[in-house]
Amino acid sequence: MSSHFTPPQPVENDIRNFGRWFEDRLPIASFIGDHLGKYPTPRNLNYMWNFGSLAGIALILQIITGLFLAMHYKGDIHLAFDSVQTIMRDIEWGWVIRNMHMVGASFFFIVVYIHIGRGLYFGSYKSPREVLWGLGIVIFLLMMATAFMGYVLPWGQMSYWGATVITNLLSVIPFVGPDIVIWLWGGYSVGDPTLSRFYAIHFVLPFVIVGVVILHIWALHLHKSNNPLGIDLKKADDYIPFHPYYTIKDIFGLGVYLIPFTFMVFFAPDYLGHPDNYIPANPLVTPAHIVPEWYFLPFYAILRAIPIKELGVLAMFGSILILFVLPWLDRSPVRSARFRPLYKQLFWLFVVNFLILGWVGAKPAEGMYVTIAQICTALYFGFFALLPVLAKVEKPRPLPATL
Amino acid sequence: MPLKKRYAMSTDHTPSDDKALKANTPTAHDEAPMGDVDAERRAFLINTTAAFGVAGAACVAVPFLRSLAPSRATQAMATTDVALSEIPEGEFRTFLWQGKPVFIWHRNAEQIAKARAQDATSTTDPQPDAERVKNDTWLVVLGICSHLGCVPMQGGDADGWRCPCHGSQFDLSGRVVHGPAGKNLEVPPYAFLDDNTIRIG
Amino acid sequence: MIRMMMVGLALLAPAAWAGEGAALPHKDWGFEGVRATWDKDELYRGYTVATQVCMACHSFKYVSHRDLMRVGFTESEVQTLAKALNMDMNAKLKTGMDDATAKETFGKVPPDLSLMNRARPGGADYTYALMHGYSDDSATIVKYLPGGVPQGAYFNTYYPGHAIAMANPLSGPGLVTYHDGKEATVDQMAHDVSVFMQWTAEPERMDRQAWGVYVLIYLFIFTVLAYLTKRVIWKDVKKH
Repeated sequence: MSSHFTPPQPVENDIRNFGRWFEDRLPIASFIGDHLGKYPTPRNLNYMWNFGSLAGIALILQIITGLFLAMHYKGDIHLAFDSVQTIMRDIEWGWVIRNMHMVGASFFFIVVYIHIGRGLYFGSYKSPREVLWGLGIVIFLLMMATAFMGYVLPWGQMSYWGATVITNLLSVIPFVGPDIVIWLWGGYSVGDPTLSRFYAIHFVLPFVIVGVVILHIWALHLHKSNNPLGIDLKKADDYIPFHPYYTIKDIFGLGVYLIPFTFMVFFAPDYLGHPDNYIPANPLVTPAHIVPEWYFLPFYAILRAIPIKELGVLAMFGSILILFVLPWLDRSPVRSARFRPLYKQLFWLFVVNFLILGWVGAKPAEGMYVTIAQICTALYFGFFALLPVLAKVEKPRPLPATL
Repeated sequence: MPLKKRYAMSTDHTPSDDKALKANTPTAHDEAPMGDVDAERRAFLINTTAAFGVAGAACVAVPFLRSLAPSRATQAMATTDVALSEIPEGEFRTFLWQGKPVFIWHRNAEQIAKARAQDATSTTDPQPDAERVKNDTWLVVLGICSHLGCVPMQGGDADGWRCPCHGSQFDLSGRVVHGPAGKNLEVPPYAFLDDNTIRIG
Repeated sequence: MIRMMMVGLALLAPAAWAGEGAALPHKDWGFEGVRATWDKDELYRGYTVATQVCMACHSFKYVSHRDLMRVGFTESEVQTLAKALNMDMNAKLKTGMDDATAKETFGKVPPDLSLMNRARPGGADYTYALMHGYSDDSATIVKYLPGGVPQGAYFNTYYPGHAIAMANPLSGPGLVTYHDGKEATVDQMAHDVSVFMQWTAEPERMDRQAWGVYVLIYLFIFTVLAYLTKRVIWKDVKKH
């Protein structure tokens, strides 16, 4: 918010004026004040708008717990599994930090899925917020890469075979695929070089995410938040300052979020994991049921739905990349689904379909499950294919002029 | 449009708006005017929630900081047992205890007598030899120079050790006789388990 | 409330793990629930079975005698137990059998048991059921394994695939003598060793369950306070 030029006001170099003196040289306090304190926020945001700041908090928690785990973890195939057990047994409170990191990853994804769903429902991806939306998808992709590599680090059976299966996806790249996979592994199979580089990348990617989050917030603050009505707010009293209104609302939301989170950390830390990952990695035996972490399941289902390997991989990556062009697929001038009767139904169908994809992704790829996965994959892409047509047939309900 | 106006709660910007804005943006430092029950309740809730939250966050820091303390495995290995028969009379050997070198000197009669005589010359950090040993024959000291933590080598003018880093010298009882070190070599906690075994730690 | 949430989670449990083994009966374990503690006598009995039966071939490589001091054993008790096995109290509980002999005898090295209750769906229920799952009854065997039991394997109802390389370790009552005079029936030994293996798999469990209650109580109060504060702060914002 530097649109107003304030001529420098010389401040006497005196310890009593330290605050003003420093601010005159680096106005960091007013920068934070403008972006956290005074940021004009629509006053009609509902609780769905809590999930953005929750995602930020989840990211920070992952970075802090991860940092403390990294101080004890060993990124070597002979030591990795044992070092996790050292954290669980010998390091004081190590178990709480590891459980927080483990459960935190899942909860981060829950929050981000709701955050994306909110954007979809209220049309937050539409002009002028296309870049804001695109940066969000970049964050989502970076999160997936980070989570995938993090899951390899405990070096259990699921770590090893998950890494093998997912890296093998790249072998579909024409001509150079198999060489790229070997290059990625640093060997002829997933092994010590793979673990070391995954550890290094897993450590650094969250900071890249922080960087993209800053861009994401920058883009947000330029055109301000969307709102449940999806209309452009013109009047000054449509906005209220972020602090204290949304700080306290976000703090309340954080409390609500932390209750199930804490419950999982203390009473069901392994619930979202796989027992097989407590068996040390064994390159000679693949577990009977190999399933990715739950947050990858819908995309995993799309991958397996298509019997041709190359097409399956394309469909899986395409299912995420298509989100980038969503702002141009959806031609309707109306943002919020509240005023779009057809889109609203389509949105809920899309959500249910996505959940079914997740469910079928956990099932063995045989018989009826394959058929379900294929139908759901078709519906997934059908949603996006319908959007350009929808704008032509749909009659939006009248929009309010103001709040 | 002046920026400030966008935050205001009413559309017309009048001087009274600034006051209205202030009233609408309570902070933890709000002072409740006497008799204003609403404002009092608000200030009380804000302060209670803030205090409760900060206390909780402080408690969360504890497990994180504790996780950096020596682990249970390290604590279990906090003692070292040394078989004294390994050390020939008149010589010392170095042992590892908690990752630190410990010198154990098997002193002969002549060295004991000399160490006693050196009581007079250890003036920097005076301490009689008798107080530094549990058994005259065995001198047990940490092999860490009290200056900046280097490991001293045998030698020096006092027949004990000299530090290769900055030239501090120690006598036959591990007492400093020449700076820059200002303190004697430390005596670690130890006990004789039997005639032939010392447990350090 | 916690019990209800647990039941809720159980209902949602992914069915992906309903594998080839028969469904596991659930036993009410003393280590479950927020007020649970490790029962020292139970663990002691489990330790007796583990060291005298399991450790003939298996190791518990993440556990040492010293760790028993975290569940109420005194240092001298632990020293005595370790000395009886000719071990240092800081040494991990490793089998006396070396890998080469094991490979020669069984074709593979028997797996380490420290984490077994976490590495198998069902945990202690699985271990307990497995100890009861051996059978010589040909009708039962044919029901699960129509082709018969493969050479060198044993039938077990609860083992995924039903053909396990391990012979019935608790082949009959009285394999061990318990410190507290309890009768060492097969069921008692199976129960005790399952509890012991739960402890070796997650020694932090009691800390976890006890602290979780306090943290949840704190968060509940905090959330209510935050909600009330939110309400007073938002009081003057016009409702749309």
